[in-house]
Amino acid sequence: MNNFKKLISKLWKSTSGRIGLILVALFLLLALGAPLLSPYDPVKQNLILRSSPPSFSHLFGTDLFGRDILSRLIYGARVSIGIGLGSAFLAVILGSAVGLAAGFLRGRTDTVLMRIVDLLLGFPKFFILLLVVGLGSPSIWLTASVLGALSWMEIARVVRGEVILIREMNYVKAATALGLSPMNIALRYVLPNVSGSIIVSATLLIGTMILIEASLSYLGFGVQPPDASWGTIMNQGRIDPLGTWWISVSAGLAIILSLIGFNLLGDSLRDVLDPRTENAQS
Amino acid sequence: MLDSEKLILRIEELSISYQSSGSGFWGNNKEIVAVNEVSLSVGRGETFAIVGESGSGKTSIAMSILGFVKPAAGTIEFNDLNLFSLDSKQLRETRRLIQPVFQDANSALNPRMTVETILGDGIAISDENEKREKTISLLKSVGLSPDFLKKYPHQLSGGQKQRLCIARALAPEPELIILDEPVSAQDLSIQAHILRLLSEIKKTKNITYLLISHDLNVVRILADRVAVMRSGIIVEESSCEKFFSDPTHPYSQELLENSGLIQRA
Repeated sequence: MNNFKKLISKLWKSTSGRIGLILVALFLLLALGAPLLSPYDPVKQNLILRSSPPSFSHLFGTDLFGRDILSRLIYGARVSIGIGLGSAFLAVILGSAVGLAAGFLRGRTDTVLMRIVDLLLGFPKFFILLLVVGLGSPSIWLTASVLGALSWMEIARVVRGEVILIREMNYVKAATALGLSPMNIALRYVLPNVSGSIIVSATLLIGTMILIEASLSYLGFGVQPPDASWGTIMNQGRIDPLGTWWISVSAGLAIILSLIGFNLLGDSLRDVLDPRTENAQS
Repeated sequence: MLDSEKLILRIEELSISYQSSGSGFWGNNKEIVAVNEVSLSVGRGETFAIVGESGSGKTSIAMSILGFVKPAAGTIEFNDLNLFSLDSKQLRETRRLIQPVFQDANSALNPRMTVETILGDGIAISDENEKREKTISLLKSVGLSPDFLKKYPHQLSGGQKQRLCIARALAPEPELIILDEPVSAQDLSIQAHILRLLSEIKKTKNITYLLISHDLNVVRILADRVAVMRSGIIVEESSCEKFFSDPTHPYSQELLENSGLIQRA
């Protein structure tokens, strides 16, 4: 807990770290406190107020069915950020396991695992996503799992590279000389020392995941009604982009701000956690 | 020569070579011979020093004894066991009897572990209380107080880190400790403390040291016998006294002159 406080105070020192922290905290707060924070019921239709532009009572206007867009965006944060976090978490687990195994064991295991990574990276990610989600019945869980399962390769590469550096350190040699098992050394001596890079790539990946999910939902293949992600909301503005501009613009704003938040946070985390920078966390 | 029963380590015709990726489009790999058919024997309880400039192959020998470098040819026998013919379980048990102390204590300590865990990993006792007692006695034996138990390596000074590395090397109760430039990274005053500590440990425990060093001052303080290496070959091997009073090989004479330990008439 003490380490966590230290990390936050270090992030707070840089402007980009501060903006990243504030944005990410804001979106997490919106997602968690949606029922308390949203001014209206996000699914309640009001046909009298159909497609009304932003006003004091409806800050971001209403959609084609008269639903309050601000409320829909706040509830949408649950879906969009939830899918972003969930899929990034899955990618981190898979990527770390593969990267650790490849970098620590080297030899044939390394070659086989990394060729699989190359192969998967060669696949058009979006096409497979559309295929799988389109063939199955689209749901939040399916979207998150498929996104995670298709995005762990970059993390595997980063982790492998770090592991190869760490396993040459003298403390790993000393542990080997003490007769510790390879599994013990990999999990207790190597993995904790690459956790910094894992956290950084995971944070950056969350932003990417949110964006891909939004594209998917915009095309109608992602989250299905009555659930709504930011991509689904944006999709509604597509029917009359000039007449109901506020629908797409406000959904777009939510996506952009969350992306900026996660990317700035990831970049600042890299600065703080990188052992090569001067006041790195040890 | 030494009585073969009293030998702890026997190295015969050990050769170690490295592949260097050559320049040029096809990357013609060149083979660099680091150690060329070296034979040497270390008696139980003595301090055997290998001296030589960097690149002479002395660290390669140490790394192959520890099992981190596979030799191209030759054998290494520890307690009459050929290290290259052991299965992995035997090797792990034998390894515990050969412990390294590295030059750079910073990279030799896991930054994410406390002193207690670092030492505890080397102790083969499962009972928590006994383990803790052993850890504290290890700390004391290298002149560190039990207050250090919960500290992380970055909270220790350079000298304290090296003491901790020595304590870790002692944890599995080894028979042979390989000291790879053990004080080169330290200040002069700390060097003296560490060297005194190493001499004391030697006196109280029945431990053999294999000292790898380019610093003849360190060699003179610790070593009983000296082998001089140059370009992968041992050019001279003699007792410490004889080496410092009457070196025979011209390269040994040159080393001594450069170290300022003797003045040539």
